[in-house]
Amino acid sequence: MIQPLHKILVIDDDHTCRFITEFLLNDFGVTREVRSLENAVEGIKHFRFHENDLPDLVLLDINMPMMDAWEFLDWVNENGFAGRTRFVIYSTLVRPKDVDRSKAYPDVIGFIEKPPSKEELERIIQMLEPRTPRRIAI
Amino acid sequence: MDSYQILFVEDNEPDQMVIREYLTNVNPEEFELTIRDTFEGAKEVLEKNNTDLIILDLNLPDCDSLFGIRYLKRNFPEIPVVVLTGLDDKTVGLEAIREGAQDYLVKGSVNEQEFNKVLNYAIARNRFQKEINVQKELSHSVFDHSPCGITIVNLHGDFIKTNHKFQEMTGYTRHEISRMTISDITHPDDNVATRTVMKDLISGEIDKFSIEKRYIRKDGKVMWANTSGNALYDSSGKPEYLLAIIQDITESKTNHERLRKFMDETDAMIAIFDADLNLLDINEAGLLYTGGLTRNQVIGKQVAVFNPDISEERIEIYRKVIRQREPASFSNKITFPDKNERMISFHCFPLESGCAVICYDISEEWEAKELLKSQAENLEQFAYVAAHDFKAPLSNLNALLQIIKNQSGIKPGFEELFSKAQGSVAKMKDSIDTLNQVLTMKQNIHLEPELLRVSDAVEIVLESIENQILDTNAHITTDFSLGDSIWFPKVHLNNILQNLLTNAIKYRRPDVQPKIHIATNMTGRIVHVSVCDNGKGIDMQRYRKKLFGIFQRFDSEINGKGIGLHITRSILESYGGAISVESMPGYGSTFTVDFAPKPETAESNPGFVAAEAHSYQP
Repeated sequence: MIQPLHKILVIDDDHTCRFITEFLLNDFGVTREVRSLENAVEGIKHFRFHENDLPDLVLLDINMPMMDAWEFLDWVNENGFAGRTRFVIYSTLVRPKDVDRSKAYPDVIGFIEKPPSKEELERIIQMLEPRTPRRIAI
Repeated sequence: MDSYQILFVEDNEPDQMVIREYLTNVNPEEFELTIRDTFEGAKEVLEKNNTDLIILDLNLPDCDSLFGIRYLKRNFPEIPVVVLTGLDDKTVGLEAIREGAQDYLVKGSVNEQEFNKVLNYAIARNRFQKEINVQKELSHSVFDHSPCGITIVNLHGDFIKTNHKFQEMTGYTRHEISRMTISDITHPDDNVATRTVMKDLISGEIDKFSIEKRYIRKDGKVMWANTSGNALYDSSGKPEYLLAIIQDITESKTNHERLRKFMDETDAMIAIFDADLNLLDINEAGLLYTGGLTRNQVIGKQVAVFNPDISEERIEIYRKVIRQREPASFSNKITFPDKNERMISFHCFPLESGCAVICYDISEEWEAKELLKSQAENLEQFAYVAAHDFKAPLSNLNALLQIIKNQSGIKPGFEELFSKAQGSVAKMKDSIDTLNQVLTMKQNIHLEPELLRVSDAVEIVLESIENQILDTNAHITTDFSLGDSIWFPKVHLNNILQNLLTNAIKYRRPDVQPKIHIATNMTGRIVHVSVCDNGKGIDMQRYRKKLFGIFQRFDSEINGKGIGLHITRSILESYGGAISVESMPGYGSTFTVDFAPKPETAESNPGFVAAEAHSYQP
C-alpha cells in the first residue's frame, strides 16, 4: 500500500476540471488533504500562509486569469520555495513548446493532459514515492 | 671611329696634289682619300665602297659638268658632293649647288683653311639634312597612319591640312574638307566652346587644350570626340596654325550615356564611394532622398557630411565591405527627410578601391510580409483557442462519464445508450486532437535536421507497427543499396515513414496478401525513398489535387482522419523536400519522398543588422 501523502494542491480556473481531479484524488485515497484553488494568486497566498506546511504535489494549469503557470513558477523560485515541493503541469492541450518550457523548471516533474485519468494520477503518485524528482512521460 | 671616305674625282695631277696635301695636313687618320681621274672610275668606287664625301671636278673628260652632279644626286642622294670649278666659271658652281651640290671650291683661290671649312660644312650639312629627312618621314607617317584624326587649321578655322583618319571619321573627302571651316562640322551646341578654345590659343592664354566635343558627320550622325592640340608658331613666335588631334569616343560616350540613363531612371537608389567614403557618383533616385540637394552639392563629400543622420553601424558596414572586399546586404527602417518611415534593403559591394551601394524601398513587400505573418499568427492563435475551448469541456465530460460509470454503474438496459454517449464524446475529442496535431506539427517545423540512416528509421517504424504487419500477414522487403543517408529531423522522418507504411497496410486489397517494398534511390544529391504497395490504389484523375489536402478522405470503408499525407507533405516542404505519388486503382500505389541534400554551407547573412529607425540617405 502506498504511503498516503500529506497534501496535494490543485490550481485551476476550470471549476469542473478541479472538481473531477479532486474527486479522483479523494477516491484514490492517496493523500490526507486535497486543496483546490481557482487561480495562481490564491496559490501564492497558500504558499505564504502555509510556509511550513507546503503541499507534496501541485497540479498546475497553464492558462489562468491574472497569473499563468509560468509566472507562478517564477514566483516560487524567486521567493525561496524552490526545491521544496513538486509540480505537475496539466493542460487541455499538450503543446511541445509548453512541454519544452516546463523543462526549464527543475521542480516540474511532469506534464499531462487534463483532466487526469485515474491511471495517470496513480503513475504520478508512484513517481513521488522515491523522493527523487523524475520526469513523467506524457 | 672609322675614317671619312673621301672620293676625289680629278684628272689634273697638280690639283690632285694640292688636295692630297691639304688633307694630309688636316688629319691623315681622320680622312681616307681615294682619287679617280674619270667619272667612270668614280662610279666604280661608289658602287663598291662606302663614301662619305665626293669632291668632283667639273671639267672631267668623260662627263658633262652638271650631268655628273645630277647623276650622283639621283643615284647616291645621301652622299654630299662638293664641286671644283675653274676661276672663270663661278656661275657653274652656283648652278651645281642648285642641282644639289653641297658647296663649291674655285681652283687656284682655295687655301687650306677654306678647304677644311668646306669639307667640314659639307659633312655636317649632309648629316643635318639626313636628320631632317628622317623627321619629315616620321611626321608624314604619323600624320598618315595615326589612329586619331589630325587637323591643322588657320586662325580663322579653315582646314589647311587633315589626315586620312579624320576624313574617314567625318565621312568627307580631303577636297570637301579643304573648303570647310571648323564651325561647319562642329555640333551647334559645342561651337561656343570650340571658339573659346581657339581664341584662348591665339591670344596665348593657353598653349594647349583638350575638350570633349561633338562633330556632325557628312551623314548627319553625331560623333563624340576627345579633341586636344596646340598652336603652331611662326618664326616670330606668333601662333600661325592650330593643330588638333581628334579621338572618336562615340562608343564609350554612348555606353556612358546609356549607363547614366539607366542609373537615373531606375527606382533603386545608387551611390558609389571611394575608399575613404567620399561620394563619387549618385543617381537621381538617390538624390531624391538627400532632402533636395543637387548632384554637384554632394559629389566629393563624405557620406556623413551630406547625410548627417547615417548610423555608425551603416558606415562601419560600408568600411568593412571596402576593407574585406566582400559584399554585404541588410535591411534598415529609415526615416526620410519627409518624416516618412520606410523599410530599405541595402546591398553594398566593393567597386574599384571603394564601394557601391544599391538600395531598394521594400516597405510594401515588408508590410505585406508582416501582415501575412501576423495573420498566420492570428489564425494559429484562433485555432489554438478554438481547440482549447472546445476540448476543455469535452475532456471534462469524458472524465465525468467515466466516473459516473465507475462509481454508480449504469441502470440495466441503458448500457448501450450510455456507451453511445461516451463514444460520441470520444469521437469529438478525437477530432479536436487531430486538429491540434496539425497545429502542433506546424509549430514544430523548426526542428534541427541531423544525419540519419533511412534503414535505421525503417527498422524502428516496422518494429512499432509489428502487430499490424502480423495481423495482415504483410510481406515487407527493403533495398537501401542506392543511398541511405539523409539530412532530416529524426522525429519527422519516423512520422513520415510510419504514415506511409501504415497507409500501405491500411489500404490493402482485402483478398490479397499485402506486399510492400521500401527502396532508396538518388538523383544528384537528392535522396528518394519510395514505398510501393500492391493495395487498392488511388484514382489519380479524381484525387490528384486533393490527395495531400487537409481532412481529405477517399475511402469510406476505412477509418482515417485525412491528415496523414497533409502533415507529411507540410513537413517535407518546410525542409525543402517533396512527396509524389503514382497509382493505379486495383494494382497499388507508390509514394516517393524526396529529401533535400544538406546545404553546402549554413546560410548566413553577416552584414544583416536588425531593423531599426535611421534617417536615410545613401
